[in-house]
Amino acid sequence: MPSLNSFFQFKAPTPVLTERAFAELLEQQQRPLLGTALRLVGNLEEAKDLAQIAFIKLWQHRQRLQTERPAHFYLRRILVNLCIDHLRRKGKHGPALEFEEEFFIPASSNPQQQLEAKETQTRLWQCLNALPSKQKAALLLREVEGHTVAETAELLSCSQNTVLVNLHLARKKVKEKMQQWLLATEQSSS
Amino acid sequence: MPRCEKFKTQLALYANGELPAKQRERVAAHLALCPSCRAEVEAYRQLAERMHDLPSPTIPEHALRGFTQAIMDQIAPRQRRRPRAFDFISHLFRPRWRYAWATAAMVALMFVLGLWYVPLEREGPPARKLAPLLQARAWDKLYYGLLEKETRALLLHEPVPTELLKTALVELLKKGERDLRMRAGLQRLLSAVTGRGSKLRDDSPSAKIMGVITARGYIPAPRKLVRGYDANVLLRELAKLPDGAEVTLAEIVNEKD
Repeated sequence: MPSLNSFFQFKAPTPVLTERAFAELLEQQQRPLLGTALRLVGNLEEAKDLAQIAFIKLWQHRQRLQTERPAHFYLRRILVNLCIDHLRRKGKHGPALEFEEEFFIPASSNPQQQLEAKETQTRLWQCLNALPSKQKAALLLREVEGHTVAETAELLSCSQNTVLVNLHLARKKVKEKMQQWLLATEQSSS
Repeated sequence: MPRCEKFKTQLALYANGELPAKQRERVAAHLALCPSCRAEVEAYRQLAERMHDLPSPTIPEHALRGFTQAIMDQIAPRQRRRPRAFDFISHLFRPRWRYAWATAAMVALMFVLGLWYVPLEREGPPARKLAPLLQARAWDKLYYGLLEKETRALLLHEPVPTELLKTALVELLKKGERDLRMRAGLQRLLSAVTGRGSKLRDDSPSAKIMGVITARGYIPAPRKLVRGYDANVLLRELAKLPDGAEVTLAEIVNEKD
């Protein structure tokens, strides 16, 4: 139990993100952040805009940052929420989601074995993009970016159970679609 | 298989190692018996592997060109514009001043209402003779005469026939029983005589609360309002007075003071 003394002790104000620290963060995180945004949104220009907005928002709200977590955690959280909002808005009002393949599938030398893998990956990206924004975000953060369930929950500002439900739904959908596609390709090849 | 339904939602979590230990054991026990669920778990594992193998998107160099600069431009503190001569006017109407304006409006309103209650200055010099005032039952003139220093002594110490003072005061007291305004006038008069009452020109509610503005300046409200003279005591005193003699106001009042 904390004593009264420690309760009344003056608590030093949380150090604010300095301009220098922000510049460093910007240097370190712009690439991974843009990658995450690109994965979530699927369009380079929009991903760039969202990543920039995330940086600006982090700077504007730097007073509210807490010290328990590194700044890039908040940055990522802002970005994920921005992307989900963006996807939701776009899904409601805009045209179907664009998907710029050239950024996702590495343009390597094309031996015949790699062609199949490439095709599978393209199909997988298409399946992922067809998911609702929250499920997509959960699945991408968990599986592709390799965050734990707890981290994903914090990034998405929801409970772990919500994340698990979203993950389950997303995996089920993607699995079914991929199985259908694989069956169709097998039939057509044979 | 009915048992499979129970585990269907847990298979994907099992395949990715997201289940708590207890549930994991149960699912594992079921999997040992059920080949279809095993196949499904295998499919989920494959999917996870495929997703894990997905290459991270390649970000072209041109995408990052100007990225940092755009952010830095946005967060740079804006140049303050040079203040102009009449900026304070627009500043006064900012939302943060709204309570100040509301308060000012209230004060102004109260001031106007207060002015409404300010009594008018009486006209002419104060009366110097007590007897004609009593005969005319001119209570307000008497009151004002008692308030003025130079006439107060004259009025207090002028001997008048006892009958006149008695009849006049009894009439005033009796009227005061029914007439609230008359009673207030009597109290005022008595307080002026004893010098204990408020020195206000008027007994209006606002004068009691916030004082009065007169031609001579602002007279603040008394801290504690002094109650007027007890009318019953005065009546008893008046009944004791012998007829046919002369008496002054000071005599009656000073005895009780």
